[in-house]
Amino acid sequence: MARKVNKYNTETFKRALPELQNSMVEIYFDAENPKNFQEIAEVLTQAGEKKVKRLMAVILKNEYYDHIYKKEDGDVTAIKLMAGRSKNQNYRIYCKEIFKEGKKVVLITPHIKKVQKNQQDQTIVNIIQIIKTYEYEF
Amino acid sequence: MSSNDQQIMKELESLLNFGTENDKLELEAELLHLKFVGVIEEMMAQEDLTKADLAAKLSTSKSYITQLFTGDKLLNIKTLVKLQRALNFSFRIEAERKKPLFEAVICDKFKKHFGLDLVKGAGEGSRYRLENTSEKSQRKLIA
Repeated sequence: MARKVNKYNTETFKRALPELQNSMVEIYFDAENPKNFQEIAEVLTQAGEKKVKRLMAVILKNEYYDHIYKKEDGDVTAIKLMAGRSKNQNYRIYCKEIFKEGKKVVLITPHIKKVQKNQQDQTIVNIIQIIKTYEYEF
Repeated sequence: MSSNDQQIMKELESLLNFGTENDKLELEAELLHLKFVGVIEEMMAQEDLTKADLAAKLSTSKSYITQLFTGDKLLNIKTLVKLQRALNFSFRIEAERKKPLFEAVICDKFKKHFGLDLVKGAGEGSRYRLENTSEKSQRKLIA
């Protein structure tokens, strides 16, 4: 069954930036799990306006950068952000991309990355596998 | 959508507001900077270099490299030259002229001035978008 989403209204933002005016990308938040949704909102708020604008512009421009927004596995992607009260926590927000009438990006699960690079984090592997099974209708 | 969700969405949407024209300029600068970062990331992947390797080659810290890659710090021309040397490549610069695009205007007010009253179907309240091409000015009816 299709999961609930909340649409992020980015129209004014797109209109304000010449590079985004033709963007066919839309952003949504998975609203099925209120705890995750609230945590994602908290992480974005803690990261601050400047970083959120940069991140959203990258997503809306349909671009990928290893340190901001990157492809993980298939249609699963991850946002990288430093957040937390003193901005010292290495957050990931796992997302799913759906290619339908342009591209829809759904922000789904927040996760604090604790292991070092090249070490496998089983939690991340599980998150990605679960997200792959999620279905959305637009 | 529940009222709590609505409140959260409103707060999230407010993060995308621009306070001043300078905020917009800063973001556009960051996006231009990221175009360079994209090339550098690609070059590093080809050479199988880590951020620590690159930091060593540039005699700088790994955290500075991270700040460049996240867009928290912007590149300057001197650093671009250092990056070209360190990764043994050179940037190829290309430019693309954008078509000047004017806002839609109410034809009642401007049609006479632009001679649009001669266009068939340009009724009261119609709007026009004016686009300049490189060859000559064109007037295009959009509604």
